[in-house]
Formats: sequence, structure tokens, C-alpha cells
Amino acid sequence: MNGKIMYTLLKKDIKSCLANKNILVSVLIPIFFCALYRYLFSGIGEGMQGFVLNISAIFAISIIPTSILPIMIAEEKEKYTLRSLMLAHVRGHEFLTSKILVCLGMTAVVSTAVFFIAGGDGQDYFAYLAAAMVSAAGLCFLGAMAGLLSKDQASAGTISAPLTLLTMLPPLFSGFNDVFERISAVVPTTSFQTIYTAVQSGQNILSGNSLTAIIVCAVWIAGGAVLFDVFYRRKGIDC
Amino acid sequence: MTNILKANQLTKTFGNVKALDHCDLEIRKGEIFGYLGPSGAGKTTTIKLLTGQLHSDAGEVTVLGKNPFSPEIRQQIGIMSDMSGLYEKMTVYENLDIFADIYGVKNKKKKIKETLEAVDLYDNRKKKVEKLSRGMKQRLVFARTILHNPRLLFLDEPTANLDPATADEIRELITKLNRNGTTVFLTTHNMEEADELCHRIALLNKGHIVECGSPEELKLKYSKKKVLITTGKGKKEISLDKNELIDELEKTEDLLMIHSEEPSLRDVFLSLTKEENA
Repeated sequence: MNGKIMYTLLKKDIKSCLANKNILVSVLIPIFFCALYRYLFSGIGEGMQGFVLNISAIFAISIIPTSILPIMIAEEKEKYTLRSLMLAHVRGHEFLTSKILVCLGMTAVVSTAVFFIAGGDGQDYFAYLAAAMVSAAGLCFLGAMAGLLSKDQASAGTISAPLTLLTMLPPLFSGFNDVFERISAVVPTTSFQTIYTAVQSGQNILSGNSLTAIIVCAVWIAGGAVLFDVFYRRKGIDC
Repeated sequence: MTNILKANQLTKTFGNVKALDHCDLEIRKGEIFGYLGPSGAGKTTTIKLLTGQLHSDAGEVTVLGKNPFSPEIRQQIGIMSDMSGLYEKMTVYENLDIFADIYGVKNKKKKIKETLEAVDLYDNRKKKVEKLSRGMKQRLVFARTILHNPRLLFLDEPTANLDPATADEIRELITKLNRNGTTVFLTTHNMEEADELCHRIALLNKGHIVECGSPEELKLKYSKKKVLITTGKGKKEISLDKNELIDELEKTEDLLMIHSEEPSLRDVFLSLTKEENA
């Protein structure tokens, strides 16, 4: 990986994100909902603060990798700028790494905003952020594949909507029954919830359910990278 | 003369359609080589095979002595197609700045300035690309293609859908680059453009190269070898045989005009493809 090319791509991607209204709106949605829920549930009880933080963080971790990342990739395909980059000597993994890093950066910013709006405990912030990043990283390859499959931003939106729901809903409904709980255990957003809950209650995150949650995220990251590589070799990034 | 590109028996099939059928090509250093054919003949497929965008089903390609898929090639070639996208929300300068960094262009600011001046876009360098006219965007794409001083340029229909003035500007830029030593591989379906620009051309039809040579050679080869004389009584075609021509001219009293009846490249192509299709 060429460091100078990566730096150039990162600068370009950050500029493009800031100029894309679709992306800016999508990024603000979790922050808006966090503020709204905080206002709606204020005065109901202390437990609601944790609920607001939990739901808003899960929203942020879901929406950015599965919705914004596909849009970022699809935009470049739609406008043929991806082809221009490939015809220069930008490699597929360089292009994607830059997009994923920007995505994770946005996740960090939004998750931080959500944490403080929801009134999270400052002592837990770094553990919260680490759990959010690990969880989001696992979902980035899913979003990257959705971006590869999309011809344009409109189809990226169509493909990513069910993906966002599939990653967002399991942790919210995992307590409803055993089957749902088992299914949701393999989703990275549930892993975030498990790890953060362990941190809040002072448990060792490297044991029990939270260790399983960390392993789930690691499997998603490794498996996603391998699958993506296979998919890219077959279809090519500019398909 | 050294060959800068060589392709042997290049073949590519898409499903049941043979896009390219055992084509041989040689491009000499320093020439402008035209690759002509109607839409769907296989021109863009050829460029993709020569520039490492597609794998061929059969045949070999070497570009600058190397495999077209090798990373070292990218620094030495420039590729311009109708699908060369620009970052619309960024300025003219920013678009070139990105690619200057990607190519590792030395003295970047100076090089960008020179390139923008060459394509007459320097005064518009701070304008966002979305505000540019179609012709200006095409010039910017051209600028990006030549920014890193490539030795070999692949231009896929560079003047397609452009107004005549802008098309002329692009042709002038191509000629200037070639005079400075850049080899150009140019695809077009505009026969007049190829006649004006190219040192040699290949005519492509349904995936086959049907003829190859300089425009003059091809026109002479397929010439009817006749002359059209216009007199007060009308027009008459006479053979280019010297004695017959002299006899006829001696007989003519009110000679008004003499035209040579050499075919255009379009005529050559149409007659070749008619033969092939028959």
C-alpha cells in the first residue's frame, strides 16, 4: 500500500463526504434521534438514559457502514471516477481502505456526539468508543460489498436499507425470545451492546459473553475481508 | 522503427459475440496510430485489452516491453475514454492535484500550471467542474491524461460529441504532444479526423482488422485510378493512364477543371466492409 496515495485518497474522500448532502444528512440522523429521544424520555427515569444511548449508538454503528459506505462507493462508480482512479495506479484495496477509514472516522464522531448528548458516563467513553469501532469495522466489509453491487447511489440506497435494518434490529429485540437472542448474538451491533454493558457493570471484557462478542467482531472483520477479496477478484471493483 | 506496443492474435469473446478475432497490431514509437471502425466494431474492447482493463481469451500483448497488467506501465501510459470521470464538486485545480499526487508528479504546482495552460484552462482553475461546459470538461480530462508525461497515450474517441471548435482544439493538442515525442493510439469512427491526424491506421470491422497502413497508402491502394475532367459539355471520367489522359486533354477544347478521383478513407472503409459482409 502506497502511503502517499492513501493520504491523497483520504483527503479526497473527506472532501467528497463533506460535499455530499445525502451523506451529511445520513450522518446527522442518529445525532438528531438521540437528541429527540433524550428530550422525549427526560424525566421518566435514570434507566432511560442508558436506553437512549444504547439505541442511538446502535443506530450510528449500523447506518454509517451499511448505508453511507455503499453510497460513497456507488457515487464513484456512477460518476466513473472509480474507473479514473483504477486507470491511474490506485489499487482496489487502497480505494476501499480509504473509504473504510473515512467511514470509521465518521462513526467515531457520531458515536462520540451521541454518547455525550445521551449523557454517558465520561469514565466509560473510551471503552464505549473502542466497542463501537470494533463493531462498525465488522460491518464495513458488508457495506463495501453492497457498494460493489450497486450501479449508482439510488440502487445503493435500495440495497443498504434492509442491511441497516438487519444490523440495527437484532440487538433491540434480542430479549424477546431465545431464538432471536441466538441469532442476534452473531451480529456486530449486538456485540457492541454486550461489550458496553460489561464495561458499564465493571465486568472483565475479556471473559464470558463479552469475549464471545469480541470474537464475533473479529470473525466479521476477517471473514468480511476474505469474502470481499474473493468477490472483488471475480467481479472487479468497477462492475 | 521500434515498436512500442505489440499485440498478437488478440481474441476476446463476450458470450456468443466475438468482439475481437485474432487481431495483430504493432504501434511504432512516435506515431499517431488510428484505430477506426463503426460503433460495436471492437475499438473500446481493444483499448481495454491493451491497457490491462480486460483479459484476452487468446493472444499476447506487450506494452513498452511489459505485460499491460504490470503496475510499472501505469506511470508511462495515459488513458482517456468517454467514461473518464471528474470530481464534479471539486475545482479544476483540485482534480489535477489529486492525480498529480497519485502519479507522483514532481514539481507538482508548476506541472499543473503548465498543463492547464496547454489546454487553456488555467484561468478557470478555481472553478468547480460542475460549472464547466462539456468542451472544457473534455479538455480537463485530456489534461489529466497527459499530466504525468506518459510515453504512450490511449485516446478512445477523444472528440466524440464535441462541437467542431473544441474538437479542433483537442486535435491540435494531440498533434503538439506527438511532435514532442508522445506516441498516440487513437480510436475514432471519424474518418476525416483519422485522415488528418494519423500516420497509420487500422480499419476494424466486426472484430477483424480488414486493412492497415498509412491513409495515403490505403487511398492509393483502393483508388479507382481515374481522373474527372469537367468541360463545357459536362463531366467525364478518364483513366489515369498517361497516354489516354493526354489524348483526352488534347481533344478537349473547353477544359474547366481536373479532379483526381482518389477515395476518402470513408470510401475505402465502406468498400472493404461491403466486400466482407458480402
